[in-house]
Amino acid sequence: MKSLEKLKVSFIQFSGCSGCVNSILFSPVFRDFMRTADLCFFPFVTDFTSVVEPQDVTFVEGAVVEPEERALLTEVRSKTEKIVAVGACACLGGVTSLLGNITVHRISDIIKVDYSLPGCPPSKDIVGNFLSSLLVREEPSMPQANLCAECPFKPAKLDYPAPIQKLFADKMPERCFLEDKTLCLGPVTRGGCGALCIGLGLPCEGCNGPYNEDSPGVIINFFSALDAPLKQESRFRDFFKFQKRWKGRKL
Amino acid sequence: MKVKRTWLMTRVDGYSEIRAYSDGNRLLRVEFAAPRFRDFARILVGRRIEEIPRIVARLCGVCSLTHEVAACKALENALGVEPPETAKAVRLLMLMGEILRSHAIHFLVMNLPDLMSLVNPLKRMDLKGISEFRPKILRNGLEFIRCGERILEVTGGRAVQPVRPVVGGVTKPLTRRECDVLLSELKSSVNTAEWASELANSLVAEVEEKETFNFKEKFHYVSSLDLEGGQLFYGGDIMALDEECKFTERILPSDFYNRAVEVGWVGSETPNLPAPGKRGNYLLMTGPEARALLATRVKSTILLEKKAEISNTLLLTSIRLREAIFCLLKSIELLGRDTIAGSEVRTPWEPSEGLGTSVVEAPRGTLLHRYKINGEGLIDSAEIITPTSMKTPGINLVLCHILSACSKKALSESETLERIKMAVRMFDPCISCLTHASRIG
Repeated sequence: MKSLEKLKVSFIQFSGCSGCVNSILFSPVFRDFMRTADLCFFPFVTDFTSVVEPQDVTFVEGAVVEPEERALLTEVRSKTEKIVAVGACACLGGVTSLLGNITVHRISDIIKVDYSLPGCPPSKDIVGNFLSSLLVREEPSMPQANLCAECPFKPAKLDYPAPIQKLFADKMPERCFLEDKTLCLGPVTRGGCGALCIGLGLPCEGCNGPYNEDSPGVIINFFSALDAPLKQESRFRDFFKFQKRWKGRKL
Repeated sequence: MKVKRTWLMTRVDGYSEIRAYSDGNRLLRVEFAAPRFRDFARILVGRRIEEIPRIVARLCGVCSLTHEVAACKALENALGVEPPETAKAVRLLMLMGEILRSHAIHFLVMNLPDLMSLVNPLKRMDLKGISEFRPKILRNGLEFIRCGERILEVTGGRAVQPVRPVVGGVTKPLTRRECDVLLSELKSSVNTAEWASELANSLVAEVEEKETFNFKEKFHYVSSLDLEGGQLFYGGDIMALDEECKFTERILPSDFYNRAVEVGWVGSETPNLPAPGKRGNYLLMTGPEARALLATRVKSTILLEKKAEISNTLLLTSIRLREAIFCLLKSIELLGRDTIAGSEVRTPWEPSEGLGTSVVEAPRGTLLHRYKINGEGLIDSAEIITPTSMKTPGINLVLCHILSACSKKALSESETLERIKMAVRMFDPCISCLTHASRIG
């Protein structure tokens, strides 16, 4: 990336909810970022109507559904040095991929993605660290450990296979959800959000995606360590609402 | 020959466009459209009750909390569950935060640059321009947005897709300490909210070509109000005002759709409601202007406005910002009450068959959710009617007035287009809500 001139930065939105753009735009670091970066095509806040010149960084929110979106994405890739997929829809397919009647693509299904900011929406820390790295021209790093590493209820005391009786919590937990026989995707999900939902009484639904590249392997191992009645198991798949790869597949 | 062209709509949330039809020389008709329609209600069918608030929040990143609360209320209505008073107060506080945040974003990103460009036509503005040339305004504007964000962060963990509301109440009580910290922060922010409102009013007063943004069209207005509790925003029944702004009827949320068809509010230009005709007989408006009008017309304990007559899109800004101040003051009042930090926050429930409807006031107007639950506790049918979908036909009619005002003044095509875009932004449409909401089953 260039070191002296201002970074040329664009933001593009596809099928999503604008939540990721909002999270980036109003993150505390963004004001400094705006001073150092030159905002170009960013329909949410600027009046440019197309990507005219070569860009240093383009952030992409949302999953790709329409043919013209694919064409725009390919064009943007050819004009951009680094592509950043932002949020669960862009990185994993997101809730949009739960729609049965349309084909939903992750950004990486269509073009090469340089960085992925996971989460629905990406946490303040993930966004803040990433923007700060861009500002000082450093290689950004992503959280590598799973969510359990930052969970307020660690360490869990579990016997395997761990029995699961509930998919949802009906009261504030006092210990690990799995210990309480409630399904929580923390063990297979990437950290970086500070276990925000768990702190507020909801088990992890996996919006940060798998913590490991070999996600099917990790997830199958995880489920083989659980003990649940068959009727419950068929519902496990629904828990992966942020990941396209699990759509229509049985575990 | 008629030529159709489209331009990308900028500074709105999500993808939308302005379509213009011309005879080759001049523009004949313009319309605002969000063509990427997606059937979000389809996702909900067959899913479990507990999942619904989490999924519908993803319908829109700007109004995520409103959708969560509307879904919780509709499902509670179907199950016959009444959440504890503390849970209702916490949800209302969260709604105040979301409306405040949404209005503040609209002010800084969408409206303010337009007003500045109208006052000083030689210097076109957007957020980038404000950050370069008016850093103080940027700083205050971001601080204004922070007020709403702080409410959502303290109550829901984050400003976008906050978590805490669940079917039956909220997950966790707020502590007195959390409330007190937030209370003192909000008290020190009242000045910032007043600054925004004063700045907008003074800019509107300076705009020379105000009459370009006049519209003669009379609308019907709808807004929800809980008459018993005297509560605005948390729902209740839907109140309708006619084209003379007289109160006409009180509609139960469950009857709203049928009534909309009977009165003729529903038209084919509203994407998520089936069409009885090309366009409804009357056009509907909802949102801050409807709430302000309702507060003056219905005897209510809440008075937002002494008098509000809406015939110019520029005035919508003032109404929206006065409402933002109201939301901030309401939050301060809620945080001072003992109920807000109560310990009973969740009513237990068992899945059962039922049909439930709810309305909540979203930043942009009345939002309706309706669900049918089957015997297994799964969703059989879902229906979501969003405020932006109700008012899109009305917005398009106003655009026609603005187009003819621009042609009378012999403005160039690009000047006209710019004013059309400004007028759309004044109404603050939410594209995510518009394209994702639907009815199914």
